[in-house]
Amino acid sequence: MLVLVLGDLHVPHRCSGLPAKFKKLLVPGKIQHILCTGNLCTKESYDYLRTLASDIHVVRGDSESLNYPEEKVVTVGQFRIGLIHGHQVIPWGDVASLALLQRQLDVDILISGHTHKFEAFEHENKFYINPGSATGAYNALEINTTPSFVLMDIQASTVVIYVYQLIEEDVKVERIEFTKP
Amino acid sequence: MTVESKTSEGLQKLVREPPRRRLQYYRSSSAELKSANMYHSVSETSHPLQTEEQEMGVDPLQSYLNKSGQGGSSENGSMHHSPDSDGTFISYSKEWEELFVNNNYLATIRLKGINGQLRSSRFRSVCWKLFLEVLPQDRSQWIKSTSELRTSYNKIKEIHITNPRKAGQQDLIINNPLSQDEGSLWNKFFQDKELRAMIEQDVTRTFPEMQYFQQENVRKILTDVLFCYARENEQLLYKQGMHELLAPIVFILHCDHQAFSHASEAAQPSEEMKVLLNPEYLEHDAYAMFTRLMKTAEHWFSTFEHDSQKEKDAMVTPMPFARPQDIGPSIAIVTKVNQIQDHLLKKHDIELYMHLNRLEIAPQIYGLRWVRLLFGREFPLQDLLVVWDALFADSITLNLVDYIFVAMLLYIRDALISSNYQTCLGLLMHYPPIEDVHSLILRALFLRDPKKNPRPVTHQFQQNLDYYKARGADLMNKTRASAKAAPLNINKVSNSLLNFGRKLIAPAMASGSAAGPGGSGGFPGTAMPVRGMGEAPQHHHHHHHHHQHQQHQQQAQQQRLMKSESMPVQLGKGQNSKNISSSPSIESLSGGREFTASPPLSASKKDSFFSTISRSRSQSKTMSRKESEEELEAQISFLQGQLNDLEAMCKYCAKMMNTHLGNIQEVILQERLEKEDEILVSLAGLKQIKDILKGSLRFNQSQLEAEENEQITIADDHYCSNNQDKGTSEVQKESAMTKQQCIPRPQATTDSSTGESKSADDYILVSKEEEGSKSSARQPAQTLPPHKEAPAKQEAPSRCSLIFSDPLMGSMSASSSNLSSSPDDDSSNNSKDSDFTIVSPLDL
Repeated sequence: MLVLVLGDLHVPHRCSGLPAKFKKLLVPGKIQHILCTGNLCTKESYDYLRTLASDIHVVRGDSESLNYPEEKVVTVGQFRIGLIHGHQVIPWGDVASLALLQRQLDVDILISGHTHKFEAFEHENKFYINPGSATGAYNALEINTTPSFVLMDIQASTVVIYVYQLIEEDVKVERIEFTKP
Repeated sequence: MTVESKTSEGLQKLVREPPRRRLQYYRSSSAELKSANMYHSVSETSHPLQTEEQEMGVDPLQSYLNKSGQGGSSENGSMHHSPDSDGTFISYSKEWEELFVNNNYLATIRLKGINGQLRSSRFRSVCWKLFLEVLPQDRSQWIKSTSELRTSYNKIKEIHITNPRKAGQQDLIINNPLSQDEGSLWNKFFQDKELRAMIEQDVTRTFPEMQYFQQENVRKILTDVLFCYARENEQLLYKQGMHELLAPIVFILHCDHQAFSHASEAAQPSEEMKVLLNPEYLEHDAYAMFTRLMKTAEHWFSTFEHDSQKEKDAMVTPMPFARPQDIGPSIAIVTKVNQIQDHLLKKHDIELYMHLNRLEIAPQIYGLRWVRLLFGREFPLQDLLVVWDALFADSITLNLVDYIFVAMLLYIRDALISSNYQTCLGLLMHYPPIEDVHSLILRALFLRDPKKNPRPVTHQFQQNLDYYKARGADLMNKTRASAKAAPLNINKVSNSLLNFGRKLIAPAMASGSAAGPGGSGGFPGTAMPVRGMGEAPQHHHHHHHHHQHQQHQQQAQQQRLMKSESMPVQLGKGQNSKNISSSPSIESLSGGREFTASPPLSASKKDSFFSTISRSRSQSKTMSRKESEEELEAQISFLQGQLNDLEAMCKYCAKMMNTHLGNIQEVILQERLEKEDEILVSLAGLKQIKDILKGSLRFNQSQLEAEENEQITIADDHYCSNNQDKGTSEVQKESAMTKQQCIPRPQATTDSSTGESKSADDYILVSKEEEGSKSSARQPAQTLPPHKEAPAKQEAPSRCSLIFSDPLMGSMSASSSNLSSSPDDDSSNNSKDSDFTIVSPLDL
């Protein structure tokens, strides 16, 4: 099962839209679910995601115009996945703070955003994903960010994570595997 | 020489066979409906498709085969198991020997296939494999070639059914889930997914009435085979309809495997059997057979000319059976069906050809499906397999298809020729159930090669006769039309028809007439000389039988409808027959009600009723006529359907009347009543109505007006003479009353009818209740007239209470008193009435 994870689009405030190369990759019919870490900012972005898959889960970002829940827990296959934008987790992107939230939500995978920087790591047998910004929008601390999103291929107790990054006009793909202990 | 003797043998068999065959079909099809697991319990070693045919297939060929089988058994004596092992297994291995242990075995199984003798074979799949040349002719090569084919399928499956998650060595840039690279496994995976979804959509609709095809693993097999085929034949891919070609193959493989596993429980089967009938390789074998079949059938599925051309060039393996006409212009299938209609049909039946042309029924409309699915939708599975036996056995080129096509048209030719566009389409799209499918094959063979094959005239005639009747056409016209086709065999056929009919009727009569013990024997028409009935008793027989036929056919039709539900066919007879239960119920019931109320008068009335229905309908439709052409079209077909329904209802009423009148008559004749003559006269009147209903007596519109006036006066007279102080207004009130009692009444009347002693007490009791509610004390004799209406009312189901509040009611109830031809005579009247009550509840 393919789950698209992305967020922090900031369209139209900080970016005009998704990079063309990403748009080309994202075609309907392949992805079953979309988990969005927020900051879609406009209804139009949300509608675009709907064209890719019918099942969309969005959480509220710090510069959101629409009303979404602060955090969400979604179960896909055998995995409990926690979803939060991340501006609430202080310090932003801090592993210990995220681990705290992970324990609170009792999830196997915690997905957060806000830092606009891709990260995926295992910590105390739990998995943490930050898909970065799909548009490469600047964040509060940095101007140059790499557009990225994540695709999770969930099969039984294994999740394979494909990371798509736009580095110098080329899409680079990385693959990370995580198995539920 | 064997061909000759065999087929003539088969001919004889067919003449006496139909009834049994038909019953058999019902039985087996109902068995199918149950799960495939049922097969275990049916009988230990018998094949699921096993029918009685095996027993009757005692023919010279068989004995010849037996002998030769034993003669040749020396070379594989190993086949013989310890003689004391289970008898069933012996018969199983014996069948094997009969079929395959023989120098010229291929010819004999071909013959068996054409003659429909594989119907009960437990090695049908092996025969098909031979026909389709999946197995080589050389028996020593069987095991080898089988295993080769199986491994090749394994390879094909490995190649085409991909799992992108397993192949990790590819470059991630290419091989990631979103990749659109041609070489990407993921990309292929997603493309496959679309194709699979398409196939699965059809597979889930394959033979929805059969449990076997609802199983998940069976569906997976079907999907995988079709998918692999589609991937192996990229030009053709998957086309709708292929699944219907594959499904029967899978089914017979499964059946044979079942039979094999039962048989092998008893004893050790030979190595050959073990390999050939290994259930593990069902999918592999099905693929091999399917691809062979498709080699011939693929042209019928390809949509473009160049498709088949390219296919030919690309094909590396030599195709020894390629036919020149396959490389034709435009779409192959359309050319084919057009050619069949324009040449073959024209040659064999110019009249039908002209008729279809005149109606502008292009062969594509129905023929595409016939040919593409190899008639899969036109016959029930059991019969279909027999057709395929013959098709495959005849030649792998399926050359016989064209002739079966024509034979099918000829089978319904009379019905077609006498029908309009709409009915024709209905007939063609919902092909009528065929009694003996084998006769169709014989006919097809005859059409192809009249010199070598005997003329199967009888079957054609008989079937046409049958179906024609179902179409509700007049018997007289019928015989005239079809006498042309086969003037020589009328006697023979009518005899067999009579027999058939008797068999069918016997149970129906037993259940239908509780009061008439000798019902099946004594037909009313024969028992009594009737005035004004210009009909010989023989005709009664005919009619009667045919109505039974009709019912059967309707049933079968219904089944067929269920099967073909998934096809996007809107037009046709099926639609109409569905309407039967929905809309026209009120009209038809009220019509029927009237009819029963006043026999001689309202028979004519009934007809007028119908005409007014159609008239009023069309009037209301004229309003919307401006709206759109299509709607009008739909309405016309709807009305046509309604007319058909009404017609069918008339027939039914006539038939039932016939039966019950016969019963009444018998009783009356036994009773020796004093006013017998009058009763008989009115009975004769009833019979006349029956004939009008049936259509054998012409109804005169002008009579209607005259009689209607008459009716009123007569009614008044009767009531005046009967209840002196109570006028018709009273009667009307009465009728309103009885309406309320409609529901409790049937109970009482059926009681009295079963009692049959015509005890007036019962009547009085009933009417007294009614009396009490009305709080008017009357003499029992006076209450009789209102009571008389009640039984009459019973004839129409109580649902149609609408008519009661009708002003028409007055004349109606009045005429019901008219029914008792001598109202002043109370005693005889009473008994007569009770006779009529016997009739009525049974009609319900």
